[in-house]
Amino acid sequence: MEAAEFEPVGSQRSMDLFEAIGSRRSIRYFLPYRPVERWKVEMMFQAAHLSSRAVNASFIKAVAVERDSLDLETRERLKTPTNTADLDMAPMYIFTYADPTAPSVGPRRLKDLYDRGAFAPALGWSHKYIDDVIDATILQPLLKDEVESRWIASVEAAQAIAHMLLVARALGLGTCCKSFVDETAREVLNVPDHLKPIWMILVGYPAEHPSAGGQRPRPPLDQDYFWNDFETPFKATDEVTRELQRVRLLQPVAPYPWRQDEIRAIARAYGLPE
Amino acid sequence: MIQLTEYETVKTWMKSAGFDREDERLGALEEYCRLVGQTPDEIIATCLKQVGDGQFKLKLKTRTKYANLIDEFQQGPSGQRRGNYVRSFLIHNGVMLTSSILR
Repeated sequence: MEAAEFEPVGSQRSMDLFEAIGSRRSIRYFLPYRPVERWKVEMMFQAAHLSSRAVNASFIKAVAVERDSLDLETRERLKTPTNTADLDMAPMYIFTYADPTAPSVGPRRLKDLYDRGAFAPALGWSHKYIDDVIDATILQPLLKDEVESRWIASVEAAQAIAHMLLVARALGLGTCCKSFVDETAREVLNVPDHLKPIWMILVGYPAEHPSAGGQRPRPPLDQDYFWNDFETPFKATDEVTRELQRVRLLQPVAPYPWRQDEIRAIARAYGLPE
Repeated sequence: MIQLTEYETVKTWMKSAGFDREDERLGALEEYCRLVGQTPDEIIATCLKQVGDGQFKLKLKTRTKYANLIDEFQQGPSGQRRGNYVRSFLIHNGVMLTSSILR
């Protein structure tokens, strides 16, 4: 399969952040014959690289793998009991891992941030504070705590993953986070022992309409978000809701009337059960 | 002999997939049942182990056995479609199958 050449993003209709968030879906049907351009993966990685992260450490490690670089047997062995034909359709997999050892660079990175003006004495920071207090009482104990270090690494890596998904959407790609068989991936991808698996992100051009039948339903905002304390639900307002609909962050909720016909048509085209 | 459409699992399938008793899907399932020597209800019961009130665990080795038998069943003309009818029967009864498009 041959991928299209690099094309400046500015030459395409750009999608703003609100619309990218509003129109991102988990895509489960891909065009198996259309490869993902390397430069689009590069943009996803660059966006991930700029996500918010504690102590400016690299908590995520990701490897982009072309589906066709893996033999059929290996792909089958990557499938968990809940994976299915979507792995066969997506032409690109991005395996993501959390690095619980990432905070070990903390003192050096924090002092670098200090020197660049991110931290300052006005907020109580100094090189000595970083060495004597932050490293000794926070980072070193964290590194020794397997559960805590894995937890923070996963949280920070997930922020990078979110960036990848949104940039993929802005570039016209579909994505879906899937579980995978860790042992198989370790065997074929030379995964360093200390990395912990997160998601295998399927990437490709959607074979379904990018809306994937409509925005997924969410409970009312005030069920999950609050103001000042957890006894005061955060109420959505008509004014903001209308504006978010205008900028397409809020879109019609699934299913669109034609969704079942679409799924059926794709199943028939790919020879999948209905 | 019990009519195929009287089995609970077949009723579930017909209701969930939305087709009636004239559908060619039933013929494919009947043929598959003859191949494996079991009724539709027996096939589903063998794939799912009850672990609680209304909760079931998928028996992966058994699922693989039936999936391989579907591969065998679908050899020949129109086989993929007939095989998919049987897969559909399993899926609509809660037996998730790791289907594939590129074989």
